[in-house]
Amino acid sequence: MREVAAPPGERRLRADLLNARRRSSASLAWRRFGRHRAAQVGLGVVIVFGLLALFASLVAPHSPTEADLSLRLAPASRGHWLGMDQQGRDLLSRIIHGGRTSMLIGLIAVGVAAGIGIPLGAVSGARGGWLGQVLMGLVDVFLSFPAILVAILIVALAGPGLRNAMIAIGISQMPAYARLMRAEVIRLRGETFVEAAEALGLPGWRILVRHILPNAAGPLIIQSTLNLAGAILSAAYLGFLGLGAQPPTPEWGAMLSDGRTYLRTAPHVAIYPGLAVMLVVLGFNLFGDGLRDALDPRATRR
Amino acid sequence: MNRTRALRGALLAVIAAVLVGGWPVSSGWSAAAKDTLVIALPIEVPSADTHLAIGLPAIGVVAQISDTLVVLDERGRVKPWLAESWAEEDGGRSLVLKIRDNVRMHDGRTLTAEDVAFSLERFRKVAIGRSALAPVESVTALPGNRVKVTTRAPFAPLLRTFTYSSIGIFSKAAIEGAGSDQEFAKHPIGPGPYKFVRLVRGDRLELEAFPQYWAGRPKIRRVIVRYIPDMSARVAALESGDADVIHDFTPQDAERIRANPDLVLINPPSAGFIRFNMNTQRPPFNDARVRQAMAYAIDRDAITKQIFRGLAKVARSLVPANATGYVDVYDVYRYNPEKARQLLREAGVPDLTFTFTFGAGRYLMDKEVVEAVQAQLAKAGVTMRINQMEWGQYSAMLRLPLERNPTQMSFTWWRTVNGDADSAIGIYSRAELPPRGNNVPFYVSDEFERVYTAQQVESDQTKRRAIIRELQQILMSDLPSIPMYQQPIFWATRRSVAGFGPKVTSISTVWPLYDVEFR
Amino acid sequence: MRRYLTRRVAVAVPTLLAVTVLIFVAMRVVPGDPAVLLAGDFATPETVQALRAKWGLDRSLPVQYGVFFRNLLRGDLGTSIVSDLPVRDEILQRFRVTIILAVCAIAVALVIGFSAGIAGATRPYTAWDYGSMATALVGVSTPIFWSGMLLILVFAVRLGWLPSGGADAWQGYVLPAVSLGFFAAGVIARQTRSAMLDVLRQDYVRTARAKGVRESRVNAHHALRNALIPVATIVGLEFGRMLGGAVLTETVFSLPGLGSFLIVSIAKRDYPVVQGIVLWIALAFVMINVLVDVLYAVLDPRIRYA
Repeated sequence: MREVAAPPGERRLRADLLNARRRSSASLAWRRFGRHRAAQVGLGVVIVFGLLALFASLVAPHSPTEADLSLRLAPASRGHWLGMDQQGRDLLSRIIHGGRTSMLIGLIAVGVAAGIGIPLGAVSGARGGWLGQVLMGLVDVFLSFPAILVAILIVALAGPGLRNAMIAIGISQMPAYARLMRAEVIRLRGETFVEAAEALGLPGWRILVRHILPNAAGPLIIQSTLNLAGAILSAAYLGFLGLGAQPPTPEWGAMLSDGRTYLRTAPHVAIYPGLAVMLVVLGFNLFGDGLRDALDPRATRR
Repeated sequence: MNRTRALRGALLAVIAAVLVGGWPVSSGWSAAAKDTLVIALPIEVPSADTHLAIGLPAIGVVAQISDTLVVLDERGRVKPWLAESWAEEDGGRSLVLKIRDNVRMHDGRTLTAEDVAFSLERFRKVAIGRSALAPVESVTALPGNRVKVTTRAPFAPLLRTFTYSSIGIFSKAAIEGAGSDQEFAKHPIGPGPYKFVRLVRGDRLELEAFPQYWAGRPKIRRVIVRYIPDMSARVAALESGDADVIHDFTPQDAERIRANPDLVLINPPSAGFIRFNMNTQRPPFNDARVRQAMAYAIDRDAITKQIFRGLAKVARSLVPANATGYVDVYDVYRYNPEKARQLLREAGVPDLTFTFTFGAGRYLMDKEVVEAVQAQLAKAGVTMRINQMEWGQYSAMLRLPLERNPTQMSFTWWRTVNGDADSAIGIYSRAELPPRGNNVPFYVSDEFERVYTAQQVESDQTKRRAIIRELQQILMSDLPSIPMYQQPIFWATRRSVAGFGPKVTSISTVWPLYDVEFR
Repeated sequence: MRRYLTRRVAVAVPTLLAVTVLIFVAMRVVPGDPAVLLAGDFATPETVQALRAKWGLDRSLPVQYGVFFRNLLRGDLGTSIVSDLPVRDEILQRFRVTIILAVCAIAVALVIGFSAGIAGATRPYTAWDYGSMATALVGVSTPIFWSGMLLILVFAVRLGWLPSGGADAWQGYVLPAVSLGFFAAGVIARQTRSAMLDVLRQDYVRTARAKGVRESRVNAHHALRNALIPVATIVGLEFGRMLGGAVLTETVFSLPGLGSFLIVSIAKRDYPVVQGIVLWIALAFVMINVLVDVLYAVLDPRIRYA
């Protein structure tokens, strides 16, 4: 039943086992992360946005919801650094406040997607056979189901709301994680260290969690940090269906999509929220790179 | 190695096959010579048959193939068209229309009373909008190229009903020859100025001039109606010259188009209006004072001025402004947040909170208007929660019976069917209560009902006009709905297009194209 | 491999069956009545009832599904509620646009994605790397309605080199393919970079280097092939998604593809069309995922399916 792989060499086997033990040392990973400049910058960006979101009401110069229609779409000025939005609200304050909802949506949706997708893919890849096939069939079903229909269904069955929006986005992003994790498991099953672990009689789940998952972290982290952007942006479309933040709650995705109307006449309305999304995603990506390197069991000698 | 090469080869083969075999063949965008008028619409043309087509601008386009018996002129008066004259008979129960002689159709035949009668019968049988002719009892072709339409009871708006683009006239022989309605719809044949060429669903409808058109040979040889769903893309298509005529864009774009010397903005009188309905059967809006407070707390002038850039007008009655009988004097609700607070205090709900539901993205600027209202109400101490919904879901919810209907305040558009106030005001009657009809505020008033019934049987036009005034007064004081603004209609053309514009009164449609030309 | 493929196909059939049932039920559970939506606000209940009867929607759900399934077995997807045309013809017509867009876009995505990814991996943490990351980030975090509209404004309105939209000529596909491809390129670039870095550090690459194999050969023949496994997964997913239609791209560039057709049909509750398209998308994904699985074994000969 199992795949055939290159015969493991005795020495390599021992070295890999050694690596596996070292990898578990958190302090080593932390030290490695500490040497990673780009990752620190990324973490810095993420922390700054996180703090801005947490203390939005203290930091923001104006109320995010107070509107003055006569100042509609006004360009940047002394009192309003980024100008006004289409309702005559301070754009900067809305971006600061909007980070709260948007980052929450992004992180939780990605968490839901990865939380369902990774175990699904892992089991499918590890067990192969009928179970693996059926699980992948399930993933195919999810892949083919239109996200908008999932969203409408959720509104109809579970009602509107932020929580349901996150679930909707999570569900639609889940298949990517399942497919990626499965591919990694299939790829790594043939590696010496996995075979060695199997030879030692370690239980399957333990091999998955301790040996395969850390090695598979790369593609999964990348997928998550990039999906964050997708999740934040798709919140806007869900908003139209009643899922997610409803006006006047500021939220980057909705701000971007509302600003679409003013692409020609008042581009600032969409450009700044777009930049916010890009910066946060950049931060998470740099951070993700560092995390990946830090967790990489083979990078000890770097 | 070999495997990689084989893979690469296969991929190339697939791409080549797609490129060579699957390419949609058509004239290039740059080759669009100036004998072709390109019209870009926000909705697709699902069928080229007016009896089956859905959606107003789409009907206007396919109505170039068929033609109507009568039209409304710029001032809303009925004007002869395929029917050159008419007379009432049987004490108002019958209308006899004399059909124009020597009208040629696309199949070379001459239009007869038989074709007209057959087309009207077909409309009554297959059309989605067939309820428009529900009062009709029979349609008969008479000698002398005349058609007699008999209704069950006198039905004054009948003649106006024949102005609907959807009640198009087609060739009887062609319909019968096609075998089925579906087959005929694939290639409709009528007496209109343009012949059907082809319909690519989701993309385009192509038409070609019919040289023997009775009202004169069309000046432009080809018409292509393109479906461009994205608003900004439509404007870009107009600016780049890919389209000559576009419909539906934002007021900001309207301003820019107006300022562009190459383009012409067309902003005809509105035909429909937006209203905010309140559920009058349930708290908090079962109290007329609360409803009136809402009207005082909403600054409609600011909305038309700021959001619509002055290109829309405030609606001041619960019938459309273009309807005969519209009166604006009963709208006493000038923006006054203090008065609103006072009314809310009197009604015992000083810190009112409610939910506003709407199908976002359906009507121009709808989300912005709702958000602006939310902010305005906040200034009167009212908390309005917004609940956006997918349109299909929303429209189903509006029609739920009262027991299951959760709407508190909702957003709808309304118009008259035939230019008469009666058809717009009727939705406040009991007969229109959901799930049957469109009385979404669940408005029930004995006084309204009594006066409305009197109006229906009143044959004296002056008296009827007075009753319709009275109805508007009742509604504006009870205020089941707040009339918000007259929904603007935006069209734009390139400067080179001459003769496109509101030649006839219509809802929101493409006007006759036969005399449109390039300068 | 044969056993694997047999099993895979054996699972595909119930998968597709499950999709038909799910989409059938989902469309009918969702509030919104095609008859009301089609007939409009002025329709009388009688009209609505007549329309429902015409489409057989007045029958019980199992009966409706039975009819749908029986027709499906004969290759008949039914008739569109909105257009009265056969669903199969309509889908085929739209698919022609979608396949051209998908193939062009995935080509753009592969070229940009691989170049940026390889550039980043071979010179990690240099300007090259950050440049490629920036490309990827702009790709994933710029909404298509934005980047697409920008392209239209520059190349159609300003320069007049390309049409603003529509599928009339091959030029009409240039801008949408670039927009859509750029989006997918971001993910591909990041995955390529990561996987290559991963593989470049592995023992056997070190061994190859130690044995004196030229650097470029190491990169090309060892690292890249292995790196392609997660990348192949992502490319498969992206391509599958494109085959199902790219709604936003199609909308911005007015292309009559499957994506916008699906959205319009969901909005109008055109049950037969939605059922047909979703079934098609499921079929596309099943096929692509099998292909990708096979590709794993091609890329890494050590992978064997039992």
